[in-house]
Amino acid sequence: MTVAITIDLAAAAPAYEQIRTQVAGHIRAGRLEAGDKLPVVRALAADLGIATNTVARAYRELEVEGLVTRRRRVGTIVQDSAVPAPAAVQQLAKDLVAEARGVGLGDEQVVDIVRGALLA
Amino acid sequence: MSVEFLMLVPVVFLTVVGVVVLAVLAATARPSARLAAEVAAARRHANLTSLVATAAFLALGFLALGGLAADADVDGSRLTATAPLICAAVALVVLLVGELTWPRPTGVRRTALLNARTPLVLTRSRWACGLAAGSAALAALLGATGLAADETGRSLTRVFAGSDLGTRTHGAFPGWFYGVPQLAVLTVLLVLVALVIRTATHRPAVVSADLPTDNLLRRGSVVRALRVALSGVLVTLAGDLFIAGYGLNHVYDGGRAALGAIAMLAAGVLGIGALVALVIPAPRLRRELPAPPAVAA
Repeated sequence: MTVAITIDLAAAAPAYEQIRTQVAGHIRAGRLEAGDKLPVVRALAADLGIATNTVARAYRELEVEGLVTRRRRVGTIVQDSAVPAPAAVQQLAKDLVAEARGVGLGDEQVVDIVRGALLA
Repeated sequence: MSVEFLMLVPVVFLTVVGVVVLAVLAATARPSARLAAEVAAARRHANLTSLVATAAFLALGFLALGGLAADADVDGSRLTATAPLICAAVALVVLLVGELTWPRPTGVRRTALLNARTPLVLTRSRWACGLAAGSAALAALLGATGLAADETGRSLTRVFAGSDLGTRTHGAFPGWFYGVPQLAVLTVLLVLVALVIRTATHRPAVVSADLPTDNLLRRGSVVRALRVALSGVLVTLAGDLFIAGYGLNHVYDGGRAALGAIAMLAAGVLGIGALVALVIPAPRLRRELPAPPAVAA
């Protein structure tokens, strides 16, 4: 399956953080699997119309997180150790999103609710 | 019929083929109404680039034609010998500019597909194999004829040992005089092809285009570059083969003369091959667009 990311240049979150969270989200959701190759920095930067440094920083952060690894002559690939969340947790997350959207909540509000739950 | 006039054949060939290509493209144009606005705009950009490249190709062809009609001197004949490759190189420069000026993403919300694309994946095709084979054949032919030519590098001379007949010479012949510039332009041509492919690989994806559509647009760009380069190489190869065969046929008797005749026949086949290569359309957009890819929430 082909996955995509969308960034909002007018959003408060910096572009590299938006890239990082969305790539991490795809990995946690199992849409990107271990060994999958990410686009080269230059290509993703061209597609998004942003500076290469921004994408490079997002990839560095993902590498520090242990989700991706950079290999010479291969590129940036999803780490073997980056396992997706358990299916039951993924289903609960999907249900939460569906329920929240059903009652008219926005995506940021859903994230805030999850953060709030994490703080409890 | 002079040999210089026969060298005109590739230029006329390319001119005719260019007109045919334009007619075919116009006749098979697909309506933009069912495409996303950005995809339609990208296709317009690709078509415009292709049109300008073809126009440059034809214009240079006519210029070379004019030079020959004016009974060009020795240096002019060398320019004519490299004309098909130069025409192809100019067309490739136009295609390269087209890739560099490809529509860039605009607006505050931007989407990108997480697919890793490489030049190798886009290039892997019969076109690339054909260009590699054609270039290798041209280089090999020029090497062989360069070694066979006399010290002027543009004639073929047969010395009759122990005979009162002396020598028999025929020119033009694709020796080093013509071969070196052709090899130099061929090298430039292949570098330009590599640049176009690299640029087409890394250019921005078309906004709102899914992966198959985006890949199709990139493959179209790559094929257009390979196609024009292959055509230039084939026409040059055909011209060289014909001139070399003509020379062999006139200077030698028996087996080598027969080899010359075969070379002239092969030149005709290759010339037709160049024509066929140019009229084969590059990958184009289909009417139906698949569903958009998943976007992270």
